[in-house]
Amino acid sequence: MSIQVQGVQQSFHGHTILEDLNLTLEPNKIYGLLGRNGAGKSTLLNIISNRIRPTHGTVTLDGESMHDNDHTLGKIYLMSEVNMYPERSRVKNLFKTTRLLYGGFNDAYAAKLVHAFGLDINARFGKLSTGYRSIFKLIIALCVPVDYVFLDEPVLGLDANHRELFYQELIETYSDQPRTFVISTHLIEEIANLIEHVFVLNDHHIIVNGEVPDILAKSYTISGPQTDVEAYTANLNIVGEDHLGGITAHYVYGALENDRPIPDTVKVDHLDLQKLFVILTNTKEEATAYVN
Amino acid sequence: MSTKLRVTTRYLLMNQLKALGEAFLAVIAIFIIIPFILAVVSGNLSDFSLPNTIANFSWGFLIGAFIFLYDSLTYDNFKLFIQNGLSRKTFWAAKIVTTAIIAVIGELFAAFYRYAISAPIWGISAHAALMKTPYSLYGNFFGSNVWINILVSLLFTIIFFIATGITGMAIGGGLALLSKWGQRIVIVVVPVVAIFLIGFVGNSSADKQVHYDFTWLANLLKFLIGYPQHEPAIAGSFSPAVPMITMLIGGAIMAAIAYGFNQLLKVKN
Repeated sequence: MSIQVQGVQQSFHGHTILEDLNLTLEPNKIYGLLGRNGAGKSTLLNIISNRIRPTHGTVTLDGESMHDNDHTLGKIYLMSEVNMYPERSRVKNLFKTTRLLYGGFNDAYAAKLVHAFGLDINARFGKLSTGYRSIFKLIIALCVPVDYVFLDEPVLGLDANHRELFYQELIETYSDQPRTFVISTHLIEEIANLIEHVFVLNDHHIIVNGEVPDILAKSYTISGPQTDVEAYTANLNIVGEDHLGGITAHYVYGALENDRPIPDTVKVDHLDLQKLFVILTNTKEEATAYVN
Repeated sequence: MSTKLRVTTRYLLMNQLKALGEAFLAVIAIFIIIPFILAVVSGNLSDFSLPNTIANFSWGFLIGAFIFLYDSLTYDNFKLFIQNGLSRKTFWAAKIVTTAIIAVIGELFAAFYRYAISAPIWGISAHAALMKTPYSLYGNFFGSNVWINILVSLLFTIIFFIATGITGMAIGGGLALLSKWGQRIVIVVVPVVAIFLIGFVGNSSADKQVHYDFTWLANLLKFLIGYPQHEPAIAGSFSPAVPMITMLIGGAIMAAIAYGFNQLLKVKN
């Protein structure tokens, strides 16, 4: 049981957004979908949830098409920045509508979350602040009976306390009732410890697709005097570099050569997910600007 | 009917009935309460007749306009349904079913009001009440049996409401594909072009210097409204069969167009 995205291509007005994209979303896993502004993350999530049709390619769930299919669409929920709910409807009525249309809703958990986040269920959706709209949508996302939950910028407008609360609730609900979450966000540091698998979308393609520990295990910062660092990293996959004073840092993505001796002057550390993301998605101009 | 179609229809029906109730209350407020207040304020209370005002309500027009306008509202419901895991196909089918149910409920209410409330207040027979409606063209087609004529008029109006609603769906579906700017252009340009075209056809027919022949159009329109072929063309003797079949065919074509537009719906940023 998995969602398969196969050969997806998306163009708007002649501009390519996604090109020949292939990925698989397995059950009961937390994914991170990372990419810079305009990379196509929201477009990809909109295609998966059938909100837009791809120019080419297919999306299937257990081999069944996601296109115009109540059976498969009823197994996913996409919480997005776009407001899809009627502005005049009250929050409590939207919970009822969700229960009616999805055929279920965890009322007890929703009540707990409403209390914890301080959401006014008598308020009209259109009157909620940006933060509380996100909270409302998050509560629905965590309470609908689906197998796949897609969260596009889930903490938009949330203060630090509410963000912390959301991450805690996400871990708790995932432990109690495992299902797949796909989180698309720019706050990489905040989700780095949550996600098991990461996709990095850049330049219309998935450039990183793997388990987070495996990816971080082969991401290195090699720092030290320039000549020593350059000698050690020769022929390795250097994806970026920094210079500060007399110290040079080379960022390497890929296996190191274990038989190559490490000079005493050179230090080898692992990169964190955010730094790796920044390095991998920097444009050439930006990368050059960093080298000083 | 699948579970998803049932719940979607239920949602649309409940919302539509609520909106229809609000529209009824608004009409009552506008056509009873405001004239009453004006009569009181201007000191002409004796000219105000509550029974006559009540009897003159023609709910059929309100229901027809309501069905058309409500069915043309597409994008907001599409957003809500796609957010809740429902397909475009189900949305389209639920709108068709809801339109049919509202058409039946609305026409039964309008007919009850016309024959049980308005006709007694006016002091006229059921047949005379029937002949005060747009259906009067066909009101005697089934002879002197007034109840058969009334029954067919109900069926005629229900089909008309359904076809009107589905036309609203097709127009609303098309508009939902456009940007707000595009929608404004269409809403302004299409009526202007239509009025120009009607004026052009009218003038061309009257102008003997111009040799456009619109006889075929006139004959087609006569045929479509059920113009009598042999009998004298007097109100009441027109045949409702051709317009009913035309509305059914037209409704089916509009439903297909609405389905096509529905399939192209997408979430806008």
